[in-house]
Amino acid sequence: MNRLLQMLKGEKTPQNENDQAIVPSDQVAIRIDHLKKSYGTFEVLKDIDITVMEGESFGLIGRNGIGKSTTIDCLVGLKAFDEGSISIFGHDVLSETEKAKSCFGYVASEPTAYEIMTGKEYLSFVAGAYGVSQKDFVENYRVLASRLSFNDNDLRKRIRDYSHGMKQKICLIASLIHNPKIWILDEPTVGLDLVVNEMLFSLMKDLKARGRTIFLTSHNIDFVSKICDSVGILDKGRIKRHIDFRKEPLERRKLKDIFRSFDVEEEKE
Amino acid sequence: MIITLLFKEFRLGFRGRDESLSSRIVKNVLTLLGGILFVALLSFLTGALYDKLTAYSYSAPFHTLVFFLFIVLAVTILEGATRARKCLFDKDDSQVIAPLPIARHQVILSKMLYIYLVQLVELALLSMPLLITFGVKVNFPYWYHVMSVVYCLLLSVFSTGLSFLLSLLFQVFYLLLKDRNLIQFALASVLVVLLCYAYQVFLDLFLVSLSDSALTGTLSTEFVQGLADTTFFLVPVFSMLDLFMGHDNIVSNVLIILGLLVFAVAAGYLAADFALSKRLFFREKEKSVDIASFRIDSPKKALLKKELLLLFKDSSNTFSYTSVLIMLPFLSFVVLSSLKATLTYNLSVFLAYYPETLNVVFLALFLLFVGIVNAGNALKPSLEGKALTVSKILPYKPSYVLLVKLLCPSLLSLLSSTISLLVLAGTNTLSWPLFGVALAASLLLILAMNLLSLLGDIHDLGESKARLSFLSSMASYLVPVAILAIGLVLSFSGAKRETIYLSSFLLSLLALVPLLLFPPKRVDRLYRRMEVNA
Repeated sequence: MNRLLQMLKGEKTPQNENDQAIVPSDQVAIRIDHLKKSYGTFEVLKDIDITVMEGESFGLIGRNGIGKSTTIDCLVGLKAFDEGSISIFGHDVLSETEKAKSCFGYVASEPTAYEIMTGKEYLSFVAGAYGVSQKDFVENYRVLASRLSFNDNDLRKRIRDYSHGMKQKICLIASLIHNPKIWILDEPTVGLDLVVNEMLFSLMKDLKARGRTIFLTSHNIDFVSKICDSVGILDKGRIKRHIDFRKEPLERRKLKDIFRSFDVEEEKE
Repeated sequence: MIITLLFKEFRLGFRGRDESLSSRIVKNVLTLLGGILFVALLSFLTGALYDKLTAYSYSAPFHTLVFFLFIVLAVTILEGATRARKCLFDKDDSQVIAPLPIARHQVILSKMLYIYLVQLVELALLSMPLLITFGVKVNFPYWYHVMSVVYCLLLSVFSTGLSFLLSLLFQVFYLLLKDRNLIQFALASVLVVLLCYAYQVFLDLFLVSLSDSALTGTLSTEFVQGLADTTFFLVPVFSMLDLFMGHDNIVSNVLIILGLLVFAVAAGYLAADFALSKRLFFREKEKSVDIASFRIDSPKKALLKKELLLLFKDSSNTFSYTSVLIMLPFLSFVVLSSLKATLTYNLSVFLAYYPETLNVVFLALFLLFVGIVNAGNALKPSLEGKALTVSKILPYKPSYVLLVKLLCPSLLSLLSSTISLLVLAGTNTLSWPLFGVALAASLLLILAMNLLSLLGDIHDLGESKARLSFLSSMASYLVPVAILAIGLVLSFSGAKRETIYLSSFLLSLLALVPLLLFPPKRVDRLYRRMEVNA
């Protein structure tokens, strides 16, 4: 049976070479080295270094317009970067782009799908693009749809006729339909109501518990502190502080204060 | 408040893409020049046809004028109805307006005023050249010309009312056809055929007015005779012109006009009120979905299917592609066969000395048509908008993504060109050797245009400096012009047919030259650098 299905149904998965990661493994899932990116003369990312291990959930936080989304855009290939390197499970995103892209599922802050397509057409396309078998598709879809309370009958409608929440749900399903090793989410809670937010949180927790790697950005510090094993605080184009909650568990509660302290420092300067 | 709402309607109705000031100025100047040329053409056509019709019968010009003005009115009403439907059923607009403290009658009046002003401009542009030229030819006094302005002012009221009434019917059709792609495609085909037919009639009228012969073709004597018996029913155009020209029945004409105007305004207002209160949005039927029946394609097939879905699920794309398939064969046949008949009749001596001139002109014209029709086709990545994010994160090789985007429109344009050339060669409008040259040149031009459009687009999405999107449109104009210029020089210098055809083929290769700017490695780099805002 499909591993995602087993995972999300809460069944124990057999230990195998691909799925030994109930706890973070020694394998590096994402490595970002000396990443630099400018928009014209404005250098938004000056020197970013991030390493996320397999099975780890990492949160990138920072104020508005500081470069969180740009970092994710460079990571998933939506934006080119000026210097540095990014690799996903050892695949360089520039030279082994397709292999790197196969490893992750991505959810943008605003729902992005082909709105002219119906939900059915869109999911079939994304599943086809990742080479998902029909059997896996059906199993993955059923689990994800039930976890996110997505009505099957809505698959007949064009996505442009969906509400914001429904659009975000179909994007979440599409991002996990190929059972990726890494789930990358850019501000996933924006525009979601409390119920969907809780569904998303629970889904992330389950995936995390089953060893999936998560990389997310969010303004929602509570959300990040609850779900992430480690966070990076982005400020002035650099990761100003990296906190590993597994080594510094007390910092989890203080995350809001730590985050605020960067604002105070900014004001002093 | 109504003025503010009116400005809002104009902004929504004429919103375009973000363009630079220079491109907007160029676009507006070209539109103005086009408008002037169109008015001049209409005036010329009316004047020339007036002379021919007067020779046939004293009242024939009047009846023909009524007939054409009625057609103009009908077209304006149909166009107005589509515009009225858009402004009445714009969800974004109604979501913004609904919570604001604005009375419904103010919203309706602003929308009606907006449609009225647009219709006034359209009617003035299309009807006044006919009315004024007619008045000048008949030597009507000055008040007639003043009345032609009144004609536009009053009939715009009539057309506005009917447009709003018809917009309800259009909305019902829209809701019924919204997700029925095949019916949409069929209707688009019918519409394109009708448009092509209208174009043929217009061209035919133009040729009749140019030729020395008597009334022929569309404007036959039987047709003109038939008009004299039926124009009485073409209200309110007939009543209005009958009144202006001082014919009898003044009271009945005034009553008919007033009655129709009151009916149109009342019906239009009520229709708008109904639309804004009931919102006429159908509920979609709930159908069960069988997930197990979903077919998941291979990655390559899935991408190809996606491009086809994007092409044919968008009604504007459907219309554009139907146009390509139907318009090019029709357009090229109508223009080239008419041109051949006119030129061989009027320039027979010249063509006896320079027989290849006609072939060169035909080849250049055909390639120009191919270029124009193909221009609306290219599947540029930027057209995907925000959804480009999806393509960009999926594990596809850039070369395959670009190949699919190139092949879909190119195959369609090539099919259309082949059908057109077969029609032209089959009807002896073109010789078979010229068919071969034109087909090869079309293939090169289509491939070059679509590839340049694609590469220019991904270049412009990634680089903020030089804009290269214009390369494609340059190729579509420069190649036919170069073929025409060089071909005419060779033809006048008595070069052999083979030499002229070979040079034309080599010149069409010129369209591929800008592709040297895009070696494969650069294309790969450009695709990866292509920036998408999620």
